[in-house]
Amino acid sequence: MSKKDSFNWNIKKYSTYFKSILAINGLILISITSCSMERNRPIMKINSYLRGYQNGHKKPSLSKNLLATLINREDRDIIHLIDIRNMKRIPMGALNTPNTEPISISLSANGERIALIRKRGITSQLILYQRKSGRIQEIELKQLGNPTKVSIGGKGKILAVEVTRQGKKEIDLIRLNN
Amino acid sequence: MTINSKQKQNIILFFLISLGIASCIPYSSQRSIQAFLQENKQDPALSGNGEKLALIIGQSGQQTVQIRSLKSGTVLPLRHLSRHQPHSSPSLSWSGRYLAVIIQRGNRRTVVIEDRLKGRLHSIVLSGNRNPINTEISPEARRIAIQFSQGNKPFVEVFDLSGIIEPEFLK
Repeated sequence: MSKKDSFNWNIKKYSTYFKSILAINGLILISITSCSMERNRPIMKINSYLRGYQNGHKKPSLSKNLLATLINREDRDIIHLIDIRNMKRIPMGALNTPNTEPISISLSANGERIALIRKRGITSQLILYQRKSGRIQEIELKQLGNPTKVSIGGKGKILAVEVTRQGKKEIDLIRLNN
Repeated sequence: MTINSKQKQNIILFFLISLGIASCIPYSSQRSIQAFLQENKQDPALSGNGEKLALIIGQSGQQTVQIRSLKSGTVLPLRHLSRHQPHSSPSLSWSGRYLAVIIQRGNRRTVVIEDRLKGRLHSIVLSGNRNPINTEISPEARRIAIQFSQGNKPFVEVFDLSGIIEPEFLK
């Protein structure tokens, strides 16, 4: 083998090495990129809307298209409901009454049914609100107790309610008939 | 009413048998039954289809998340959430495949999502020194809303989960 042939062969050999190194580097780069893509992304449209409210939002509940939170207005909490597809606020006048204050809220999957615990004077009420009909229904607990937190099933047919009885927290399940 | 010697014997025998049975139950299990009855059960969260319930059980500092099937009443297994207590604010996706919950990692509170189908744990990466207080995953698992506190002021941010976990279809 002449010197020139040997030189060409070395170039071929090393170019194969370089190619494989480049391929490995490419794979590493892709995996690093895909790892960083795993980072959850804040939804700017919703978050910048929420930041616009000075008194802050708390206790979020998500349905497929709605977000319910509690916000503080004039030293008491009220319900704030928005459609996150268009960032339009949905009026909740029926539930935001001056003599009551919400403490827990939960939306069914389609957002049609809203379960709510609200303070009225010294008592707490468990409420089911149906948006379409505007019906507000007080739900009775199985035993006496102070309801503090509620979760509604996605279909709006069952409630799980945290209830304080004699200083102990329990969970009541309530199946809704209608 | 007088008790004859035969009846006396029976009473003594019954007393001794009862004593024997009671001593057979180990003290630890008596204590665990007692602890279960006295345990707080709080933070309920139903799955979208209403078939599963996530809740927090246990005393202060040791609160642990649990998922129960409402059909069978059994506790469903969780692969990653037997430690990092206290846990708080659980929420479930439509079928209960995804459980979002706040856990303790070192001196930080962190939001994680356990994929019960694939047995994977996804951490929600939060920028800055923000303290998550409440969290809720949407029924179809496309978004998660997290309430933080900064000073005394609460605020909520919503995160997009598409590309991290598979969405669920509402049936």
